[in-house]
Amino acid sequence: MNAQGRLPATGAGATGWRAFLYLLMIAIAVASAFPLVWMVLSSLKTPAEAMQTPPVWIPQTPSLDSYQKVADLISVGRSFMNSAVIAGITTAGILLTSLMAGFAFAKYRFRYREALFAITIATMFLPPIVTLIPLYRLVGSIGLNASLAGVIIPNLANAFGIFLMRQFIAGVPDELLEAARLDGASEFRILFRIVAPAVAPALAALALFAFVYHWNSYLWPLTVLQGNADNYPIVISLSRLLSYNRSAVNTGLVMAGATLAVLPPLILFVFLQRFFVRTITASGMTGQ
Amino acid sequence: MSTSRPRAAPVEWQKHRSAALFVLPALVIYCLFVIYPLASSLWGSLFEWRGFRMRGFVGLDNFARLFVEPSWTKLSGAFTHNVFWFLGIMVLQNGLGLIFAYLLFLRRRGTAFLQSVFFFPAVLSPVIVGALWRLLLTPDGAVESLLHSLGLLEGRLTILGDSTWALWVLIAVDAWNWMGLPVLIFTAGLRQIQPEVFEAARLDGAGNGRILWSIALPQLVPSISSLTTLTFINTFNQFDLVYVMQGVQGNPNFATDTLVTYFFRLAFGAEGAVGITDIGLALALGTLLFLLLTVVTIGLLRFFERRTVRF
Repeated sequence: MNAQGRLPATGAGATGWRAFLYLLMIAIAVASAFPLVWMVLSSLKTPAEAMQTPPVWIPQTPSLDSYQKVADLISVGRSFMNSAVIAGITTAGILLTSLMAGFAFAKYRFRYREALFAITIATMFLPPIVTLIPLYRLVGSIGLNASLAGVIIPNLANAFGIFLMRQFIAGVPDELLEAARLDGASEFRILFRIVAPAVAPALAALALFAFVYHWNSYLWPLTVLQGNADNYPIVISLSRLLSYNRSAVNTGLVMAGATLAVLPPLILFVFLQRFFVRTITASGMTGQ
Repeated sequence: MSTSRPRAAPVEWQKHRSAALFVLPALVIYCLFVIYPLASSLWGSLFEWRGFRMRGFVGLDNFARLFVEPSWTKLSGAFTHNVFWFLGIMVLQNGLGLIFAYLLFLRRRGTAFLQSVFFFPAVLSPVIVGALWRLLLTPDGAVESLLHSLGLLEGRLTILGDSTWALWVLIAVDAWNWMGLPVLIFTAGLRQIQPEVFEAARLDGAGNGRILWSIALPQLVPSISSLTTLTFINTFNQFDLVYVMQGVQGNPNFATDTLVTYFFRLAFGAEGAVGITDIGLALALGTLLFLLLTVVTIGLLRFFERRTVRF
């Protein structure tokens, strides 16, 4: 430490340090994007190029062979459909149950309200693995194992979704609801015509979160579907492709499948991310 | 958190019926598919199991068995890896994320774009993340050839098979995966601080580093609280990435084993004699994990609650 003690704000040391941090940030931003760029590039290589060492970065003759091949190996269309059904229905269900329960918790007073809400909070971050075995047995005992319904139904209500909706609906002015009641609107109408539009950004964020999570989920569908490959979502089909090729990895093939599987959540992210940012800011996660 | 209490509304039968109707779907699904399995999981940890069948009541015997050999080595190893994982993510992801958020906050231009770039890997499935990085890090792979051409490495890149490095590689991949979250949360948190606070500090001659440490950090406690809690919950639930990249045994030689991969082996018969499940032991482990997560999460939230700066 020299006589001055602390670094001056605009001294050479501070500027150098700041420049270094900016460079590091840019480097990590590039690193964030690099694997994904590499994924897409690899999916366009010919098998020979994909196996080459040292690796070829840019395919010389971009080809869609890998996409054709991956479609021959796993039923891409069917897997995609399964993923869409699982993520789509689960997301719709979560939005509906969260909106309704969040509304009740925020705007009604009823017996056991506090107790029910406390249970919701307490189990919000329950590790899914803890309930995996009993849940699997339960789904089996009601005859839903190996089916898409078995994957979907247990996830139709979500504690985090209820919590999020309750927080946001609590901020909707009561006067708005009372005015609608005086006009003779039913409670259902109030919920869907007044409350839902008022919390639309939070709903959009929850939709993004739920869809991405359930599109990508792995352990639960793998457990329920138990080898019924017809019902595999794309993520599981892809992971099986990986294990087939564990000895001699055909990079292009796996990357073609991965590129396809990334598209739906990515498109949703591009469209809904601004709501996500807004909701995080407004949720209280970052303070008042 | 916004907790404006609902006002006492006129009690009407119509409204009561609606309340019940609105809560019912979530309540039924939640009780059936979350509360009931949780209860039976906790209850089942007190029994001896044969295959998937519950046998005699054994009290805390399963819990005692967890803490003696042959389980103890696995349990303590996995727990240590989870602790390292938590600390690694706190530094690599949340620490760097804070610095990046601050740089973005200072610069403003291009913030939204860079936030998206950082957040982008978070939409990938852990399966894809794992597959992608395994291919990138394979001997003869892209990273190896990149390091070769930069002159940073000679010979083969074998870190995924190296028991000293493998865990840290996974932690770094996880940090890469979720880097966008701290950047997003901290940027939002920084924007909620009164601009006058920064101006006053700057007039007093405080440098950027000092402003971040002494002015911004104390006001970012709610963001730090959210991120620490989420990080804790996620790291102690770590499964997919290990499973895809290193297999259910946490290769090499259990160096990347976590509590959940250990649970998975016990429950699905990949621990000890292959095909023999030990559900009692698995459920005891699950119960402890649940207790650990609940107790520490509440502790963390209380700890940060006391340190929140109020105006």
